[in-house]
Amino acid sequence: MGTTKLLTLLIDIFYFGVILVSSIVLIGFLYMFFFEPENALIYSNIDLRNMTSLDFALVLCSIIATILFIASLFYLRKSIYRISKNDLYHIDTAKYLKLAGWCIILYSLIKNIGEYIKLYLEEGTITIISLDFKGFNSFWFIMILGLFFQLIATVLENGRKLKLENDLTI
Amino acid sequence: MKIIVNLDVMLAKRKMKSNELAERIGITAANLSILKTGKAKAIRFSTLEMICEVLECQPGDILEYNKEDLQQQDS
Repeated sequence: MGTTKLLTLLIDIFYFGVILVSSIVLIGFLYMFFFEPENALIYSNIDLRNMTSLDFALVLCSIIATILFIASLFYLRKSIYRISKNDLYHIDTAKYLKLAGWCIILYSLIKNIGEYIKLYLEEGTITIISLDFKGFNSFWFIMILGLFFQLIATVLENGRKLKLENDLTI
Repeated sequence: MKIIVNLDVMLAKRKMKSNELAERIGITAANLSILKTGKAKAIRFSTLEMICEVLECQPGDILEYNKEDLQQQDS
């Protein structure tokens, strides 16, 4: 199997896997919310029926972050699909990569805001952001990943313009 | 585009068809059409040389710089 096809398959598995897991979690939570409300808690202690504004902000951040994560995978799938069709310099390839980059950047920002709210709710204080690399799930790593996709999109866009100029050179 | 390609004029003078010129200089009819209609971004010297050889003309007979077009664009 070619590298591109393998990459397409991996992203497809990841994308549909995330959607499946998110759907199961959502359905499970809705079931518990309507039929066992006393057990329907988010982050072990947030009751949807008695939420403070910070609790609501935390839940909202989580939902938006999940949507952005799925959106970034969606756009990545679209650009990989174009590349697998040997259409690397199509106008949509760079566009989808750029959108995926923006989704990843926004995801890292909103996820980080959610983590600060969660930290404040648990400990009552907010720690000043540090530059420590805490693993591949860290704010800085994900932000750099988003910027990297933006860079790749810019490179592909410039390549497309050069190709177009070359194609129109007789 | 400020550079105008006057291939049609030269082809008419030499009583030659576009397809014949394209075949003799070794480019496709589609590429020659791109050149004639002003959509080309650039032309290689090798292509220009071949055109001049086949049509027995100078580059200035084929390529023209239109200053009025530039002034219209600026206004």
